[in-house]
Amino acid sequence: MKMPQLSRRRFLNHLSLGASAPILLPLLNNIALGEEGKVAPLRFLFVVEGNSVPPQQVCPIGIPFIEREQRNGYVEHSLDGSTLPTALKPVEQFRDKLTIVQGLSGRMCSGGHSSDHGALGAYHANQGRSILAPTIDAVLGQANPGIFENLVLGISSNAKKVVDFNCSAAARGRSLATLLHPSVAYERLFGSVAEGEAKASFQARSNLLDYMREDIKHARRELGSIEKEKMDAYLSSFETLQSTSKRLVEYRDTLKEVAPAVTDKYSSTVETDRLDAHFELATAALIGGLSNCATISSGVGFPNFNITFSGLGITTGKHPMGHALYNEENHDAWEMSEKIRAFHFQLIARTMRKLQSMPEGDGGTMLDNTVVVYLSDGAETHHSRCFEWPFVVLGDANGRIKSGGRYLQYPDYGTKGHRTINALYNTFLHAAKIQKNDFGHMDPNLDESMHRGPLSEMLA
Amino acid sequence: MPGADLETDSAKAFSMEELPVFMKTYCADCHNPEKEKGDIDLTPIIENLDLAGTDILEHVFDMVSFLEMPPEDENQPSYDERQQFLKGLGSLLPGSEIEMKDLFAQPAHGNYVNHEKLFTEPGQRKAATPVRLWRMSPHIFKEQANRISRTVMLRVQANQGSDGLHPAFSYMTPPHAFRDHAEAHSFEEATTELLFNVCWQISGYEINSPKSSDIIQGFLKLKTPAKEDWKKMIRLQYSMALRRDPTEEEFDGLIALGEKTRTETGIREALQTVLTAVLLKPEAVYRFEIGQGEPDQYGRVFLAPNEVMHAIAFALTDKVPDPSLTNAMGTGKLETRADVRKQVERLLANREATKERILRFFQEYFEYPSATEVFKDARRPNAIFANNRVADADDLVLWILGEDRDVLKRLLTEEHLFVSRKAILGREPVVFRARRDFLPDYGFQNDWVYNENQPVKPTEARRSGMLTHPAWLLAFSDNEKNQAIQRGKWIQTKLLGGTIPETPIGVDAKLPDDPHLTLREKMGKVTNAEYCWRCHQKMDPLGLPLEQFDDFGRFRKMELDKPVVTTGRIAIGDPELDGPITDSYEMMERLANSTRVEQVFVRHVFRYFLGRNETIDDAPTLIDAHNAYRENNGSMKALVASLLTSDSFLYRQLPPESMQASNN
Repeated sequence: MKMPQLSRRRFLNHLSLGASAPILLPLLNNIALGEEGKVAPLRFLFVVEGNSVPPQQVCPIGIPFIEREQRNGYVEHSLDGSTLPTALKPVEQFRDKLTIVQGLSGRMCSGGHSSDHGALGAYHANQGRSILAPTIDAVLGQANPGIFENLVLGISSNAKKVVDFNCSAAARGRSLATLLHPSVAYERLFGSVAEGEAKASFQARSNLLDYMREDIKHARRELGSIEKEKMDAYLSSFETLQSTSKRLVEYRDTLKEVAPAVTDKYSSTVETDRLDAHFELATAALIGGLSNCATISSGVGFPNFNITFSGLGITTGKHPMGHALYNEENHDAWEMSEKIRAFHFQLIARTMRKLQSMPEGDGGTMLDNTVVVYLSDGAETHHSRCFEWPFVVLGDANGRIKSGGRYLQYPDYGTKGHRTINALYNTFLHAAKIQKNDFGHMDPNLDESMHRGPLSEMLA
Repeated sequence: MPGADLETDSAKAFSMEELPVFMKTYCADCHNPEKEKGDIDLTPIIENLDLAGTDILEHVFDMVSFLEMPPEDENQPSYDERQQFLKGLGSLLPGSEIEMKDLFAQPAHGNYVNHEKLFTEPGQRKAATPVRLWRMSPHIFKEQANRISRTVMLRVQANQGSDGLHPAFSYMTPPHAFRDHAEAHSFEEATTELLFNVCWQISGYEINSPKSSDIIQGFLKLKTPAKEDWKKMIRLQYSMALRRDPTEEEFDGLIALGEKTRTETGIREALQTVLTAVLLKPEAVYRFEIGQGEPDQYGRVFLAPNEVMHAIAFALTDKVPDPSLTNAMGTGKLETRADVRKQVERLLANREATKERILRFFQEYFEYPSATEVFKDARRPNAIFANNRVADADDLVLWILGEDRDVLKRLLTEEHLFVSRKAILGREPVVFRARRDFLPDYGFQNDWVYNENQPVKPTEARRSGMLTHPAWLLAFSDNEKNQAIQRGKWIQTKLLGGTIPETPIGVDAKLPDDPHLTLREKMGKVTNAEYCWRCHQKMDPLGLPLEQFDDFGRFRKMELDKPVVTTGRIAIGDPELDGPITDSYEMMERLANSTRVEQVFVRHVFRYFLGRNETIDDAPTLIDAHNAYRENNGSMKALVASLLTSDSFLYRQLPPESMQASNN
């Protein structure tokens, strides 16, 4: 079923731009792209769920689930005629854009409760001690920056925690902050749309940023070569804040249009409310051109993955749930984890519907140029060893990723034709027109070819 | 024995052609197509370096730099050869500025510095810390934010998971290292934005909260503040945030900012902008340790009096300098080592003032507070009172510190412990559970009559210091079992001063699930393999004697209906320590009486109070500190006082380029 779309004329009217509208808003740019024959940037939304995703939970009913050890070669199924499993039911309407990828390994990440930055980086992050390289979301975000290169939002079992460094990395040794409170994230993204006192405050803060830049430059001159790196980093951070702040002011009217309405869920401590708010923010940010790559980290990292999804009526934390997943006598944990996963896909579906309602290019929608990637932080099981890592990909990257609803199953670890998560990330890079074939670190026990290049079965 | 010398100046000029020569000489005998030790064949790389992937080069770099390769019983390269090789190899790696010297300065890498050299009197005493900016710790910032805002805006709320530490000052230090390491922290984009917001919030409180000062409220009533009015506000903020007067240039800049903002917005926003600007100044968020005066023959300068004042205050407390320190600075009484000693000893004598900082050293050193983070299934009935166990361990440390004799020895052998009053004398049904499930972990029967006169000796089983304390044993356990390997790693690194490389990528490190095997038996099936044993021999024989206790710290004689095996071995290359171990008690006794262990402890105390790793130049500081500790019967106060009056603490080494400039 296709969602109703605003016509471009209606959409432009809907924006109700006045005479003082700033020139060339990013949102309008996207609409104009089709007319100019240019291609919109490819957007990505990565949804990383803490701990594991058991491969069976993303296998549709009607497609035989084969245990890893029995997978002798590459097998591909169409989703036609199958029933999506409980976890994926919420994205039923997008089944034609759905690709389920089974059997990729990620042993270079080492495993355990969490892979930390490794899940998106394809390397052993050693509990955040070794940020060896930028993660895939950062590489994609940097290649196609909005006002922000990346946006990383998330929830944690520690509800008081405002920020975490647990999931994404901009460069070697430089973790990207995950904003854990939606209200803080809102302020960062949409603070410039404020009126009255808040508007005055925004102006005052802009003046302060200008002043700080000069003040730090002065201190840096006095220090000469002493701790130059620290002073340079402090200065450049203020410069970035300053330029971001200016751009946010320039795009204020656009942001006003796309800013979500702030409701109680933005200040709620209930994890489902927060996750819901983060998805709203990420969706608005993608639509408004604030960033072309958003990441939602739902309880990534140890021990903060142990979230109790009380908003879904669940009273068990994800840690004990993980331990009880394979209890043959009691399936409660299994069912609860499916319910949590389905909630994530409900929010993903809502984002996709919203993107689908936004016209872009020549007769298309923003969804055409958006890829949603769902994965777990800890591969296949609670104490994982990363022999297989299920992925769910939604979107065809404007025809660059084969679509139609597919289930891809790669052969067992080390078997001929086996591939690693590096290859999937290479695939995303290729879809974004970045011809890179060697993302991430290699598993020394596997042939190099299993890591290199994109998954040819996925690329159109 | 582990540990490299860091005097890099002696390394000769490097030639890239020497890389394959080094590998041929020291690596190829084992890593060739026939032997392929560790599944690594280096011959293709030796023949053509261009073929090497980054992963393998990084692996080789790590092995050679951390002295893991060549193995101890093989032909060793000279120090210079190793240095040259690393320099060349490092230049081929991403982030190629890596140098051995930088590497060993990183948190958790301190043990790679040669232990023997650190306790050998050098020809010249020239210890100093490099001039530096040390980011304020989140603990100092918490105090600062609450004091300036006149409200408790950052607070510890243990039950709600808040430690009161602001994320702008997040600790980015790796696990097992002291958190407040000067090398590890700087403000980058994400933390600067958080800092900006929290400082804006602090000045917001200063202006808008009911506790806002009369001076500020008076200023806000002015329609057009005069220059002197602005100066009053700026002086006030400088005194609270920086503890100094502003310069005329600083006044001018801030007044211009204030006036511009006032015209555009209003007086309230203008004042908030100016007050925040002071809080964001580099010297408000970094501790400047630059020194002053003419450098000596080694290029060292003494800390400026203002810097000494802050260095002492922040070494021993999380608070800004107290009036005595401020007064001493103001009257020129912080300019000699004797002046400093006087202030350090005065503060150390004030137990309440220094308790938190010194206790934190022991918490981070022993790592027992992580007991609260260990996941245990609710089906384990004694998975209760983790916070109480940690508080009991704190009490033990504070008790031993209070007596201040043989501090380390007693922390390794003490038979007494504290038992949480809160758990045992609470309300039913909590007390029922505490008696049934908690007391036995401490070595008491469940009908034990609570003794208010603490500490007490367990009635059931003997303890031997912190490593047999229920909090420590819980901290080094997982859901179902002891973490014998991690326990051994702790002893190897924190007591013996040894090093353990990271788990190699690709190793499938998983113990068998067989429920009929003890942990020792399971480990024997995996870690005894030749490839694994090279590292595990440094951990397993040290951690396994503690199998005497289970994963909640409960003493046991039997495991899976078999007598618990508690044997182990120490092998660090020190005759005082080396040899087989019968049980944990013998191990703790031997460790507690070792000179080397005492010295390694001194190295760790150095790292905590100096905020950096020791270098060979710090040898005199470590020797003096160790002597002070011994001569004062194992006094922690004497040890800390020695460190805080050392050259390492008081002198700053100027960078070579500024030395050249001053010579010209």
